[in-house]
Amino acid sequence: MNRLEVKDLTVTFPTADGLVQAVRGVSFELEAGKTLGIVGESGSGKSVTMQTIIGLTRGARVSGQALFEGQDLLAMKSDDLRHVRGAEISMIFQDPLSSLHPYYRVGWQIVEMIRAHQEVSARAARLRAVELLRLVGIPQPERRVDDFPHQFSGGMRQRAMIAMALANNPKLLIADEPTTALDVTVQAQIIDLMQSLQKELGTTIIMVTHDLGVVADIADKVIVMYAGRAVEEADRRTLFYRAHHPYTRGLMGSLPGKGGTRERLNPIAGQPPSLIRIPSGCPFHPRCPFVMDRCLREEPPLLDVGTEEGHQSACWLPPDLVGFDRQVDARRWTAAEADRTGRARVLAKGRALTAEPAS
Amino acid sequence: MIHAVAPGSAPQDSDVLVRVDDVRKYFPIRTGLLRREVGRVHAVDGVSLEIRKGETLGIVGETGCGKSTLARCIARLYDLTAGTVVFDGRDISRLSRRRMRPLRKGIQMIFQDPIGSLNPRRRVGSIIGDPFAIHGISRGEDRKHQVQELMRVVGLNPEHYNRFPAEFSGGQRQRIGVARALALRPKLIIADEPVSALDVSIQAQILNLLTDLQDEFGLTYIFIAHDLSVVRHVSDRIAVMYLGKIVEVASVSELYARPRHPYTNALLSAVPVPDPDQADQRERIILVGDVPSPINPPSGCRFHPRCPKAQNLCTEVDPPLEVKKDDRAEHVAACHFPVEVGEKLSRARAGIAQPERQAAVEVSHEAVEGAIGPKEKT
Repeated sequence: MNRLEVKDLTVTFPTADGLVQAVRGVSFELEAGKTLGIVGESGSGKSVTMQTIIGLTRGARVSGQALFEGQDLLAMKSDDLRHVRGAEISMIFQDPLSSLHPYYRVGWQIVEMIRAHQEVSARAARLRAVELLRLVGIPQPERRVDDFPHQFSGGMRQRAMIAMALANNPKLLIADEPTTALDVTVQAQIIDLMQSLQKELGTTIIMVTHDLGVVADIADKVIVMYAGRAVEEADRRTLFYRAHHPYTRGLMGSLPGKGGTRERLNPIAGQPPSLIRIPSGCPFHPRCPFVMDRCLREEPPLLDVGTEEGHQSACWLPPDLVGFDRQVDARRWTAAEADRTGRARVLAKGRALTAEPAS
Repeated sequence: MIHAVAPGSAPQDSDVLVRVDDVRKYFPIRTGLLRREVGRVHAVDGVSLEIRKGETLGIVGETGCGKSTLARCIARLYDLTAGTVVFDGRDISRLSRRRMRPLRKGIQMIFQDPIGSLNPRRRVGSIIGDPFAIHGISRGEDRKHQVQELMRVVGLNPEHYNRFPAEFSGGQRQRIGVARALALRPKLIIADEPVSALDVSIQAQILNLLTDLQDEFGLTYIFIAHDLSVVRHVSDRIAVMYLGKIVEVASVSELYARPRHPYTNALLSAVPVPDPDQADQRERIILVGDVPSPINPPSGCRFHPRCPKAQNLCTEVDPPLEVKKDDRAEHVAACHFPVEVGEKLSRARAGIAQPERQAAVEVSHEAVEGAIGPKEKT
């Protein structure tokens, strides 16, 4: 059964400069006990999607559905939602210092979290808090439970946040860049912790990140977001080895470490678009090396591509063109060239960074 | 230029641009009415290094290991507590501000935060022109031409000379920072986390730019980053720092093929690899605990409280940075019990007197190598 089902989620923010179209029709499903990775650059809408699901986007205009075990979170009254949030769904944010209250002891904050959702005595809740801190690897939890957040290191704060998020054994854990502010060694500790908790408690995890390495490590399924939309969705291996969308392809090409040392990287040209003025047609067309005439006019929907079940991509290129090698790129280029006249041809010129056929 | 030094041979004096010898930087901690000194943060605690002309030296380590402080000591943005820095054959470690000023042309920095390091109220042309103004190099139309030429070199549109920083994106702002650093044709550029604040696609653009500029102008880089895949991509050699000290220095290929220090092993194994197959195969070394406080660093080897290989000797004697058996002359590590190729850092060894630790450490060199991929430089 699907633990979470998001249908056609749209989120806009009215601002003085115009309407910010943060999320533009995102749909996905997530099975219980699985990990979903959502990747994308700043402003792709990945965080807003998650915050909207749990009702944390104030002042936003929201439409669509977010079904958590059949209940629509977006249609819930705020009191009911508050009960679900914290007890059944919890969230870990990027910056643990601003998510912990500086005036209250860490243990007290966890106790508060437990007692808000469960009928337990203060003493039992405190014991549980100590146990949770031990679980997430805080040394001497009996003593540290009475520390203030500033007495914790960055890694310890993040672990305390996780302890708090796990206080009520949530069914769904949403982690928004949980390790971005941390060193790699601490990041490894945190990811290890999340994985073992999932194994033990069957927690469903959504991991929002810009780090493709983290996704390659832990996600079962990955969604790539761009300009407020899901542009590609696939299982982890398919995405990393047989991606279809030129944006996904570009992201992988931008990563150092795959090619040799000092080899030139293949960055994506240009910058992500403004969410107030989203380009016509496919929002990626101003940066895409495979731009075609059609891309300027029509925004592609998510279509089945490749050979794997559930692999979808929002791109007008032929569905069988998946993967990263030069031959496939050359075929992409040829396919695009066939559809190009006038403007698309001008746009594609000089953008051949990722796409130059071997000629 | 990069390979002017044959591997295994000691570098000639003429090849060395910067020589750092036993540099220390302590920050006093003062409290109370009289601002009495109650302790010292040992931010950099006895670092010796050589940076050769035309190379890129990467410095990696966790938050608080002293890598940025070391960089600022080399650039003489800080006064040194002890030790010497020789830049281009000249001892700059004790120079006054005034006498340092003409030499600053030779050493420039690029910072992490492209927004914080640009004055929002000034136009980009004048920001990039600052170095010319400060050093009284050119003025008027002449300066404008030079600034526009710089903008072109770093991939900015010279017509945007009169725009404000806010009108540029993050990647473009970092290009402004690069242009400013480049203005005086420095010999050494110290880049402190130059791409950490940028999205991957933009990060790749800046990395390419830095590589191109190095080739074009024969620059020497010190490249500081916590992202090891970035450091690996740009560096010729890498120095690994832990708690104010250098624990290992080697060429990139050596370091990844045979990391000797247990900390290096742990660090390399912790980097997430954007490749599912490799990610599944490898074993991460999960270090227990946090980095100790640099106010009271542990005795002996500073890594011993977290080290899976630590023995009693490690708590007493600080290991020197030296060439280990079978290693190349340029590969040095500071460890009494260096990791052998193929060795598993075993789970069973809990290290020294750490009641709270649950050692969860296992790795093999095959795993690390498989994860990162053996790499030979061209």
